[in-house]
Amino acid sequence: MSGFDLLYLAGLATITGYLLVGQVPSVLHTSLLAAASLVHGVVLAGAIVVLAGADSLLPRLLGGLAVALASANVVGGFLVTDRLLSLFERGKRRRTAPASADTDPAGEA
Amino acid sequence: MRLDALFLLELGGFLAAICLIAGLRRISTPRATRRGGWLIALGLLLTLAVAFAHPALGRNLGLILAAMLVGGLAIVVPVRRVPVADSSRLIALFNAMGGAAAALVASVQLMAASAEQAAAVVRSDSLRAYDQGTYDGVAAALPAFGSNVASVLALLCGAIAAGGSLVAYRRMSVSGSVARRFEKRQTAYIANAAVVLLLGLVLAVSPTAHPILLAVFAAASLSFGIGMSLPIARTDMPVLIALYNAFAGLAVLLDGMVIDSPTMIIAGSLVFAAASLLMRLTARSMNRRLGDVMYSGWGLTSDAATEGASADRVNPIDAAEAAIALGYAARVLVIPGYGMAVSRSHHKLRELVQLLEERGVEVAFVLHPVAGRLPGHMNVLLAEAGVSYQQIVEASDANAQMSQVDVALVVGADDIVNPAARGSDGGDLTGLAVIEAERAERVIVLRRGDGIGHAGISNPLMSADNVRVMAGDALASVQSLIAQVKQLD
Repeated sequence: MSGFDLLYLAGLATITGYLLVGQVPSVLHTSLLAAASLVHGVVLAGAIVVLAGADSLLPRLLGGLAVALASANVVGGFLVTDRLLSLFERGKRRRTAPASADTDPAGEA
Repeated sequence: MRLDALFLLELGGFLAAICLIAGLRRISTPRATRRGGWLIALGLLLTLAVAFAHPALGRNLGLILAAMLVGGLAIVVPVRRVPVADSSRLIALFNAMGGAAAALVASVQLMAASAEQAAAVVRSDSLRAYDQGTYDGVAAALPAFGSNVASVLALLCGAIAAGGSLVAYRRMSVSGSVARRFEKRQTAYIANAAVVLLLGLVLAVSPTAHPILLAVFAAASLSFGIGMSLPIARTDMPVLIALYNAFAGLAVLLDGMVIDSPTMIIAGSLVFAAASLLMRLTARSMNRRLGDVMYSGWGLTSDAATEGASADRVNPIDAAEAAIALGYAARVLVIPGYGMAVSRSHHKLRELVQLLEERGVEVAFVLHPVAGRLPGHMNVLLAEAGVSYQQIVEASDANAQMSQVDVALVVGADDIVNPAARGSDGGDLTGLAVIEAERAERVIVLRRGDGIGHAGISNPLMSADNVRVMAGDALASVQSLIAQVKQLD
């Protein structure tokens, strides 16, 4: 792709990102931040490509470090994101159980 | 259109990008489910498959697999060991890792590019096709320059994300870590920025990226990121984490441009957009402007505000008395804070609330947007404990009805109920929208420490006339409250 194609892609994807998370409720901020930190783990693919092309010691060393760090980013990011999201699922399941709904002294008037 | 291997690879990258977008979409709606996380994981797996299936992937396969194995396995135990409540500091750690990886990718690319360009120069000197060689050289030089600029910027953004995130991680894991403001900070910061700018320009235009030059540039960028976050108060860490998440996204985006990977560009852009939006939302929920957070000119009065903290006298209360106050109240408002997360007392707290409800007490939880370490931190814990959403009220609604509350039970919260934030001498807290617990008829505070929150500001609430303090770990306190409430009547 030419330079401008790449810029179009970046611009449109950024706008998509804004629209995607624009109305996120504050309850989900932590999970979404965790998910975002998981998504940038995609750098692992770049690190693999770069390491595959490395032919001397220094690039190999740096590339290997990049692959290891990015792998940790992906694995850890997934574990944390999944753990956070599973809490919400559990919370929801219990919500359907009979719970005291109107015991809310300071709720909406 | 040919249906060959390359086509399949392009298709795989495309599907991966769609998975990432769909996954993020699922997570940002109120009905967020784990499937969103799985979709993102699927997208990442597809991207990996494409990277591995690429015909250019020849060398270093063993090294790649070994590095993946080491990195992937090394993180599992630390992640499992950190409680859910502290997930946010892990997010900071992942931002540091992603940023560092992106910076490393960019520097290897820069070194590879310089080798290629040197080879091109040698080739153009050869007798064969001198004219054509020069022509190709000029045509190839322009995209090479663009790619150099993108690499340098990726290195810069990645290093800033790594340095800044590490400071944020440390500040949230080490209890004594506070904001640092040293003299001549501005001068050092500007000098650092100048070094980054100068070396960045040199690296962008020079055909040969010397490894030592690269290392100095990377170090300067790293220290720029560290210097950026050192003076930022602990209460503002949520904003900072989102900021460095955005930087890591930007670095991945630029890396994607350099190695011509649309999937990486899309993923990086999504992260950049989502994180910068979250940063603005978080700052807004703390009633704070972004500029104020970053340039921390305020907070200079915090020294004065901390003085006299030790002189505060608090009125103690024991479990039996507190249980009577709670058990015979009509309306109780629970205000949880980071102390609840640390002591992991949320399950017991829910048990206490259930007991009170069985006695006919109306109980609600009020969640401050920045209670804990990140927005939504308390929501996650209460969801884990099984508290229903209907029992949770917003801070502004709670403040409007505070005068009708008989007992406000503050569980390990400090900064978010600090009335000093509304005055001008609240130090780092000034301007933060707080829960006005002191307007409830009685306030019971469960706290472990000495009444100084993360912002390091003393809390006048603790010594107010209608406030009673129950000292000790929140878990132990809640357990003794449960025992005492059971004995009532």
